Amino acid sequence: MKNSFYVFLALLGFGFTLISCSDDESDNTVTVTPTMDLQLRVGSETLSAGNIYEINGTALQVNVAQFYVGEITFTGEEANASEDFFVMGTNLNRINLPATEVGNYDLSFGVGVNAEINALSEDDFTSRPTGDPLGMQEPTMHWNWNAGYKFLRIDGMVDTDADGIPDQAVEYHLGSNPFYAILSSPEQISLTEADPAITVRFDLAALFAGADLSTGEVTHVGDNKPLADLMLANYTEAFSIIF
Amino acid sequence: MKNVICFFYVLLFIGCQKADDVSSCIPVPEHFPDITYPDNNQPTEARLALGKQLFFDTQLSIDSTISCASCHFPEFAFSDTIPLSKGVNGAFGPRNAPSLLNAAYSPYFNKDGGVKKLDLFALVPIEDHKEMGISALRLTKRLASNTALQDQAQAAYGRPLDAFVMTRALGIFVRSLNSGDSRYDAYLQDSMALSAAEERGRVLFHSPRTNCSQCHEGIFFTNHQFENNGALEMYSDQGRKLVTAKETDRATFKVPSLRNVAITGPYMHNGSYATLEEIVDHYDQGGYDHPNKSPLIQPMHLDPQEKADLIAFLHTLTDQRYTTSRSEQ
Ligand code: HEC
Ligand code: HEC
Repeated sequence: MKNSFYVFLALLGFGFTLISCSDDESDNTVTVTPTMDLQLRVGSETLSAGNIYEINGTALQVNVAQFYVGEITFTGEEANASEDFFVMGTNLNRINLPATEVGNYDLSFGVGVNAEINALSEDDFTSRPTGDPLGMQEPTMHWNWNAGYKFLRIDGMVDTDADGIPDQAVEYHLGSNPFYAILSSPEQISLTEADPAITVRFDLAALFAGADLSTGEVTHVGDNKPLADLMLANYTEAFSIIF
Repeated sequence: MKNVICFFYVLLFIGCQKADDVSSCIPVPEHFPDITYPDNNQPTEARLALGKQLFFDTQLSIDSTISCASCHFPEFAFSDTIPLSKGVNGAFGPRNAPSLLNAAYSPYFNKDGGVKKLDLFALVPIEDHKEMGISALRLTKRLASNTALQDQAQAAYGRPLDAFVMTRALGIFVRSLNSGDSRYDAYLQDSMALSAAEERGRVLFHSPRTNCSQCHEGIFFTNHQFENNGALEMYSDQGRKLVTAKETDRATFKVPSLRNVAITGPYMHNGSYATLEEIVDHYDQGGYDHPNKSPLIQPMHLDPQEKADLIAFLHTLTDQRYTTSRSEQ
């Protein structure tokens, strides 16, 4: 039977420092190449692009649901932090992580991209090669009008006239540094040779808990901060780790 | 129209004769600060030529009908002549297309300041479905078979024509559009006097009576801040708040430069003011109330002569190189 626990949320204006406290390494450890698998859900249903779901009594057709995941860090005796970022969601639900020794770890990961990358300094997403998750994406994961990345992007259609048929295009896009969230597991996860996979569940219904989508309101943060704040606060329920 | 564009090409090539000295590609008026270029986008003739080519190329829009110049007319100081510009499929965006002259000196772009890099700017109109409506990835594929442009891209940046090359080349071209050759510039450089009315207008503009120069400050007539000048009774555009999410920024907009303002109408973020006369009347009355309206905007009680003087002064800011009249000379 699968259990799950929800993640903790820490918001960081700027990067963070990892403290590693191991000074001796044992020689005969087993190393595995973990994967992170994403389960997309709307409540108890599986989320797939193009389908219609009922969220808080409103029909929502989801066309795009994706977000950046990065700085995935296993902290055991040592901290093993990846600097990579990936776009996960309806287009990609498995990523390979750097080789890690088997063992029990505290796990944390960022949703979004960190301030350094989001600054789009001289080299930006246009300078990166095709295929680089931080390069240009289709559908796009950058905001032209507000120079920076889209951290989380949900696009679709909602039903605004209560006939059960989605009739209005909507976008719920989160981005900008204050919206970079580091999520951490409240319990240790164990990486074993037999099961080096970590399964993260993303529940869209939980992301919108407390939101009335029937109004057709959208958010790109600045145009509707209350909805953006609500979605961010819901991350701790929307993301959970399955074991 | 054709003449105007040809004339403009000639004008730009004058500065670019010495191929070894890249900065000579983009001459800057003597009394202007230098333009700084990022390390990865130093100006060269090849880059400028490519940028110029792309600026006038309708292939940059999804249905190949719209170029940058469809909304930024060279002969109107690179601004549009209608309140809201028409993009692909007849769509109208929410804002008036401003002049691009001296954009090189802006710390950020668009009326809400959301874009921080001129070298990335071109993606805004290219990918906006109300402007050119094509994703940069798709555009890259479309232009992959255009050997002339590919050759130019290789010569300019040593790589194929991709989003990096397009945005950088257009960034160089936009930086080349500097304007410091108005009658007011001649006055600043002591080579020409203003008329009596223009001089009275200049003094009034820079006086505490009007406060104009508090916001439209310095050689570029902007302090680059975001202000609400009480232009509208109701604002549907959230302005700077879209970027900062702060209520105190709602309905504030970048203070525009007033250089070439006589030929860049219609005015304000949504093009709702048609003439300079309307604008001066608006400021004279102190504008509409708004919680974020600047306290600098107050009723002024100007007499008709003073209003005419202010407008006469604003007309001295026109650089004839970017007007229709110049091409007929
Ligand atoms: C459909 C009309 C349209 C097209 C096409 C268009 N623009 Fe614009 N441009 C605008 C509008 C409108 C604004 C103001 C937008 C805002 O403030 O949000 C603008 C703003 C700008 C600015 C910012 C100026 C400033 O000082 O803030 C630059 C630079 C610019 N455009 C360059 C370009 C380039 C380069 C192209 C071609 C790739 C282009 N534009 C195509 C309408 C257009
Ligand atoms: C508090 C700052 C402030 C003061 C003082 C001020 N302006 Fe402005 N001005 C602005 C802003 C901001 C805009 C753009 C508003 C918008 O886009 O809706 C603007 C727009 C304009 C425009 C239209 C330019 C364009 O391209 O759309 C003109 C002309 C102008 N102002 C002239 C003046 C004159 C003349 C005075 C003095 C009587 C003055 N301004 C005082 C902030 C100010």
